Amino acid sequence: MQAKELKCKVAGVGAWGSYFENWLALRALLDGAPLPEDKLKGPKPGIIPANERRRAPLPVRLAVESSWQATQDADVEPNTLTCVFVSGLGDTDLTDYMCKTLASEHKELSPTKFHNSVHNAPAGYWTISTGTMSAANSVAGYQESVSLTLLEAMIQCETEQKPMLLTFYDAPVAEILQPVLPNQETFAFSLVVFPESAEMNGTLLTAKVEQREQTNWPVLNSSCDYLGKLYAENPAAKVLCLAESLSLPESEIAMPLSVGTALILSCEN
Amino acid sequence: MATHTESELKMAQLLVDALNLEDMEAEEIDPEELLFGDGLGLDSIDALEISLAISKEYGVQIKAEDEGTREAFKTLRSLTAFVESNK
Repeated sequence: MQAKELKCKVAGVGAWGSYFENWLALRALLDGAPLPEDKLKGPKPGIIPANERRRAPLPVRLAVESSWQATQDADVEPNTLTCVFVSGLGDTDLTDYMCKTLASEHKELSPTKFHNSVHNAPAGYWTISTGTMSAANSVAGYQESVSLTLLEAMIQCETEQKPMLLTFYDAPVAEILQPVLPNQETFAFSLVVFPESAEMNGTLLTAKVEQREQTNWPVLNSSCDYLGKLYAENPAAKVLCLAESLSLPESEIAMPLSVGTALILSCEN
Repeated sequence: MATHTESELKMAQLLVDALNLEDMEAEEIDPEELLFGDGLGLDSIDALEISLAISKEYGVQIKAEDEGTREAFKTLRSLTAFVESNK
């Protein structure tokens, strides 16, 4: 049986990491630009009202900043987009805080931290800040988070014939969890995609699910050590293999999806 | 701005830390400025965070239903005085 193909067009991209504050800067790094000398401090997305922003932990600020950039790049109103947010790790600082507090003598939790500890906190801050009433899904799939999210969003885009926002984000892991989840890097990346029928220029993505043993992620073309570490450790940064493809005339990449299946993604510019 | 006492400065630092007040130093909180509404602009979630932080730092429980609570939360000065007298 021929596998069903899903198609969409990329209308906008956003990105944020310790050495890049937008998609242009990330693309330059992927193309071989030298690493800036100084690390950036966490983003401060202006779209979150100040009173809420000071309560927003790093994963939320990463996701919202990158999402905002992608909507600006696509020149669309943020409140018109259905969203899929994904983090492979969640907020491990808050997981650590919750566990420590509940195991201590004084078990009262900070209401703000409790509120922020849910996996869909970034989606919540985004939908409240932009006033969107559209659906916002929050995915977690550890090392396969990126492929699962692309599949989820492209199914929605094709079946609903609606533009979508996809946001991939993961923050450094709390020290106590580093032995099992070794990520020390900060990363967020967003795409705004439109149905294939939309009259616009933009990379055409075609995805299909294939039965095959695919355990490895594609090798990055970039030889930058920092990007290599980011790609290896940070589950959301697995999307860098797609980010690289956005600049190529034509490419095909195979991503692990689940045991015995892979997501095959073609990009045409 | 009114001058801070040592205990008011300590309380101001607790507010800055507990509420993650962006770009604000403890010394910048006027002891006589209103904490909520038109003053510093804190809200009800902040009140819960302040109560929790005070309970952990000073062992003083602040209950929403107590008559003195609203008065205590008025300014940095009144909050510090309330905690000092209930320690």
